Amino acid sequence: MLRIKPVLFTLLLAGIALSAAAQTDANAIDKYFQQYVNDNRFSVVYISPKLFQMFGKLDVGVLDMDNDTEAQAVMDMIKDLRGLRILTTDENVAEFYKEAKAKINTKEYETLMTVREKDGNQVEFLVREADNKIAELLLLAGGPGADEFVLMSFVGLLDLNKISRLAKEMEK
Amino acid sequence: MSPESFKHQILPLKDRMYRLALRITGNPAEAEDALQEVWIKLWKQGDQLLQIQNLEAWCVRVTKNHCIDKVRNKKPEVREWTEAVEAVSWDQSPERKAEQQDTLRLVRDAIGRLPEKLQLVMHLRDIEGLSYHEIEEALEMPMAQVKVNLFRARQQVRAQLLNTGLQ
Amino acid sequence: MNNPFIRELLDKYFRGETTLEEEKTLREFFSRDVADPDLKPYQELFSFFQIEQLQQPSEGLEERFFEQLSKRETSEPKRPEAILRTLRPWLVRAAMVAFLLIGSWWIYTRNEMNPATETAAIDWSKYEPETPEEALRITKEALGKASRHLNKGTSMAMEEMNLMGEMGKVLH
Repeated sequence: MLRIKPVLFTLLLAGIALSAAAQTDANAIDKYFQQYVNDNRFSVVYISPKLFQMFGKLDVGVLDMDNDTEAQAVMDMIKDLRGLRILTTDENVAEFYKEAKAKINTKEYETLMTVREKDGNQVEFLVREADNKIAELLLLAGGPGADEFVLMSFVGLLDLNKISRLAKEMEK
Repeated sequence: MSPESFKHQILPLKDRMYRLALRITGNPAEAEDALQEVWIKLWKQGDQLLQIQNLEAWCVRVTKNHCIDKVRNKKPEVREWTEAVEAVSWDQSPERKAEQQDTLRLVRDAIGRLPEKLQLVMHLRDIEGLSYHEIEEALEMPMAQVKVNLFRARQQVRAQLLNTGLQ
Repeated sequence: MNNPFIRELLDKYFRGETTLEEEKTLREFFSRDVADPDLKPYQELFSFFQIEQLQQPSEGLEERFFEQLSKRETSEPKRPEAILRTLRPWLVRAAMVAFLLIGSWWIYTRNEMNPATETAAIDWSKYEPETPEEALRITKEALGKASRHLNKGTSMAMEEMNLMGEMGKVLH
């Protein structure tokens, strides 16, 4: 088992790389976390490109934000997004986090930042680039001490500056 | 995690967790339900719970997140405060008591009208007596933000109290 | 004007500068009868805080919790669950191998296959929110979360850099 594993793994990667290339909205969850999606301990949310297209027609009042600049900042970012997938669970948080970290292919996904908090909560940001632009942002949160395991995949052309500005808007 | 350690580590925090749940949900029955759900959630964490450094701030945080989710999912149009305070013994004459109920409602309304962030900071500081650092941990809010929000909360409540003309 | 000390503390309180000890002093002062009419509104405020501190859940909440817990545990038989848990790493490995074999077979046969017979691994559509409004709200929350963590990470990194700068000064 141990001996054949590297071979199998390479094959797996090759398979994934090929199948990923074939898909337009490739995302890490489809690639690495299939079994989580069907595991009923996880809550799963998917926002399709179609839904994203519909957001433009909605009234920003739905957002229930303190002010319009904030709502604008959100709408601004949303127009660049094409898909959002969220997996969360409050069971086995530390284990799932470890497992998930180990699964992600570091060749394709580059770690942008790891935030380790005092209480053991960890958040990791990974990005996948295409043509020098961020094509997918992956947020992985959990670790010992966290109350929730969260895996979020944002697919679309992303501007990190815009995302970072959002929190500032919200905190105002 | 054994029921014993749960009893010793988590249950002593029940009043604090309950009051926060009550502040957010605005309804004693719902706050108790929320507390039960949070306990189940914590129970499921098993021994991982024992590794947490600041268990108290952490429990407050889980309670906050759970209740906010609960309230948001329900999306109530009007948040109704039931008169739980009546159950608290208050050593005064009946007239004074009635008057007190009225003014307490005014204060509660004034606090209830604050944006959620301000309400939570004020609750944790002025009712629960937590330090800035503990609030920072519990609300995942930078300390500078905690201070600014507390300042705003107090200012807004004062303005409202002086406006409503409590004499 | 009576009670100059309390008035000064009140000012400090509303500036957000009081210590926990001073706030306790204020609550204690206002728990007695206050003669000054202009201090009355503040008395209501501080009595409110004090009364709220007395709120408690109804009795027997813990008992109900443990009852519920034992019901959960009897309704979900623990034994098979435990066995499943120890087996899980193997299951995962076995699933991976199976996935691999199927994957490599798929790559081999892909060229001859009709594209129409390709099926998506995950049916994401069942995880979509029911209304676009709900979807927008979820997206906003997700972006907010990502944004907050992103900023926390950057500010922590900035602190590190400052610290390193300080250390550099000492060393030179």
